[in-house]
Amino acid sequence: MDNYLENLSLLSTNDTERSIDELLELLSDRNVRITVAYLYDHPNATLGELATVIVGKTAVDESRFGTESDYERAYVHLYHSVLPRLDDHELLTFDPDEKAVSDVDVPPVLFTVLGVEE
Amino acid sequence: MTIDSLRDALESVERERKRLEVYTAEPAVAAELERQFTTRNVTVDHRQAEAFDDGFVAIRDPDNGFRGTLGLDQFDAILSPETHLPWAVESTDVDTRELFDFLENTLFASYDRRQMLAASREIEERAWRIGEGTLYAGFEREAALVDQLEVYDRLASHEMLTAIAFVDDTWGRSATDLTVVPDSDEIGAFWFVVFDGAGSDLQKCALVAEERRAGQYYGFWTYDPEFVDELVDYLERTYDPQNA
Repeated sequence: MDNYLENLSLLSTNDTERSIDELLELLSDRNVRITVAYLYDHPNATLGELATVIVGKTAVDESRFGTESDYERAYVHLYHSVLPRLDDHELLTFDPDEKAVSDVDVPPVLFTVLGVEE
Repeated sequence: MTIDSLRDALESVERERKRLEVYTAEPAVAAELERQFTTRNVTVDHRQAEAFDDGFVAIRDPDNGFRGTLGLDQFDAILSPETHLPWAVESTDVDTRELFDFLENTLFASYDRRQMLAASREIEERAWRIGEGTLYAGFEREAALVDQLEVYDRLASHEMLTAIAFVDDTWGRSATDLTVVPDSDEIGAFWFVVFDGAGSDLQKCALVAEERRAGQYYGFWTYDPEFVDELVDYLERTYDPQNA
């Protein structure tokens, strides 16, 4: 997943319903990349699970302990920004009441870009 | 919480069962952690995470609340009680206060005497470095204290540090500055080392273990300052070492 920049050229060679600009803009958000990568294995992830994954990835990348305040920040960012945006782009359905996602419809190329084998 | 016995303290830690979620692409890594934590009062769940080359762990409390995350590499480094006791990681980049909170009240089982000595030594060395405060050490039997008498005499006479030793039944020897409390019952079954931190919450730590079979110990270590305070209060209240 860390080498996604090297894989971006894949986007230009694949037909997706979304424009490259659209996808690049989405992927410029680190929390979007982490969220989409995790959805590969867990298409029905909860908000809490996704916040945990973002804090876990931060702990790895920054060699430090991921704290409860990191978790709160990730949770709010997911709820108000990441998941509504992914929903707007029809990559998933986000239910704010259930605090969970469903109907994940991510183009396989996006997983490949993020380093998940398809 | 008020502690009424050393076993009471042990049981209160047992009730706080934590959950460890392991996020990794490698099921074998999660299986190994599950094996290691079988005896530590921790439930281990594996979450497959194909996209994450460097995995991590997430700790949850008994109510499923989020407690923290740590990369698998760093987590591995603090798991060995002999070389990486959690209170001995102060020189690493990890925020130690948060790490101490994260690992507070960790249960362990089946330590042998060698492992117990290594763990005890970490607390004794901390007390030595601070050079003040009070160190409480339960040796179970008189012979065990005799083996460590030189060390404890040095600790007791070091700067402003006070050292108090507990042994089952009688104590016939004279020691220099070391206070020895002879008693019975639980003192004969529990190995413990408690340092009151000399007034600093960051320095408080304790190890309490019951010898359930000859040479095999089951217990916990803690850096939770309130819990250490309760242990100190219990020992002072029950054994009144200042008047021993």
